[in-house]
Amino acid sequence: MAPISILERDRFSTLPQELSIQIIKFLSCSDVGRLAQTSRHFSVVTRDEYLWNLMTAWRFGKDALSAQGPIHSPKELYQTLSADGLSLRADKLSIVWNDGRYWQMEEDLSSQSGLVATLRSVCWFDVRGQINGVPRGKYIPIWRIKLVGRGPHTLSGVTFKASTISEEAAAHDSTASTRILGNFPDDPSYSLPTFVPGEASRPLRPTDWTDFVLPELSVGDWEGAPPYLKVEVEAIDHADTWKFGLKIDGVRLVRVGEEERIAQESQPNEGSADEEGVVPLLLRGLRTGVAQVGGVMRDALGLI
Amino acid sequence: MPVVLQASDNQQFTIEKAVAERSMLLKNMLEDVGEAGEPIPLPNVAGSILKKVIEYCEHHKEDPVPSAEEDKDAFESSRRKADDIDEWDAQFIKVGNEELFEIILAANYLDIKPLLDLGCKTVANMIKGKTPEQIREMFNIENDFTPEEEDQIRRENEWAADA
Repeated sequence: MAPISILERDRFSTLPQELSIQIIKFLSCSDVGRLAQTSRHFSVVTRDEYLWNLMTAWRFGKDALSAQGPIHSPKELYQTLSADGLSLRADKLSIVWNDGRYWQMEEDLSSQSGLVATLRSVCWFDVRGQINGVPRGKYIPIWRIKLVGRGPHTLSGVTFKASTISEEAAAHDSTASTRILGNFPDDPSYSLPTFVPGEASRPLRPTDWTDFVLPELSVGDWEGAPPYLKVEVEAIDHADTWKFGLKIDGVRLVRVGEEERIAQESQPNEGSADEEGVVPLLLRGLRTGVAQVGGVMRDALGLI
Repeated sequence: MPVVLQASDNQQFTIEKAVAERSMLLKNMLEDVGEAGEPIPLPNVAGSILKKVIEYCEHHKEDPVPSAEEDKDAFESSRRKADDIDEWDAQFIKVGNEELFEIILAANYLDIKPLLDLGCKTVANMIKGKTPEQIREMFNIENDFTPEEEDQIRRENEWAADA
């Protein structure tokens, strides 16, 4: 009688590589990562260059492939894109009147990106951008901005928005998150802690870079939504008044539930007593942020 | 004019030409050799699998022929999602692992793109959301990493968990 191990042989590992790729291309990146951990064979197959070119084109668009520099393997390119994936630096925003006279790009070492968009003065306030390859899920959109001098009161009508772009999304009603700048940051209900994982909460000073936090955005929360979607962000005020006194560092999407993930990762008992003391503190900060975002949403609804 | 196919175990199947032409391999062969009526030997496909493949081609014989521009490797064509499988296909492909991989190999050899996709999507759906250990169990994959290697490969792939 044949031993069971021969009857149930591992046909998957004996497939020609090109056929394995035809299977793996249907997986999400996290599934590919787990398949890579099953055996030596799959750790090699999942490094396939053609596979990662496909994955990149599929999630970030074909144009992303042309960004491929000589140092990047296709997998590294994907990795880089997905690490940047949930944020947009100021120089990737498309800003109307960004000609050096009304808006200008400036180096700023106190910013996260190093290069910020500075508003000198403009009537037609129109800033837009697009974040590609956003995995399905719930996000808090955050604009990192700095209010300067006597400018802020001229900006109270600027509407910040983040929305899912998709033909299918148009048929679903869930897909936009909007907040008007109003009298941020003087309104006490807007005094949010900064929302940067890894940084302790600190009091908000008007001259600091601050996180302007939008209500939660659901990306692709309908049945059969694609695994990755595009999110459009915009800040707009076309009213016929002069606006001034603002710098923009960038926009990012923070996954809701990110703080639980950090909690899980800190569970393994490898951390020293000191680290265990720090992490819960950080988590409390993050949770507070989320709780207050809820409050802002209610306030926003109250305004409407 | 019917077409006769002969599997690796000499089993013969007589099918309509329209059914045979779901296979690009057979379609090209029939165009080249004309209709000689001789059985076409398929030494890479066992009778039991060929029977299954013919069942698929019978059901899909009325489907529009995929256009020539639809390149097998076109980036666009791979955009399709793994979960858009129609009901008949889903029932058809409910088979054991061994048979599933034989169907994939036969579909590849006979060049039947929609059947190849169906098989590949089915395997992909089995992998989705599973842990490495669950994937190993499902396909009987032997874990041949040393503990050090396993640890390293886990760390190498940590970035992918949320991406």
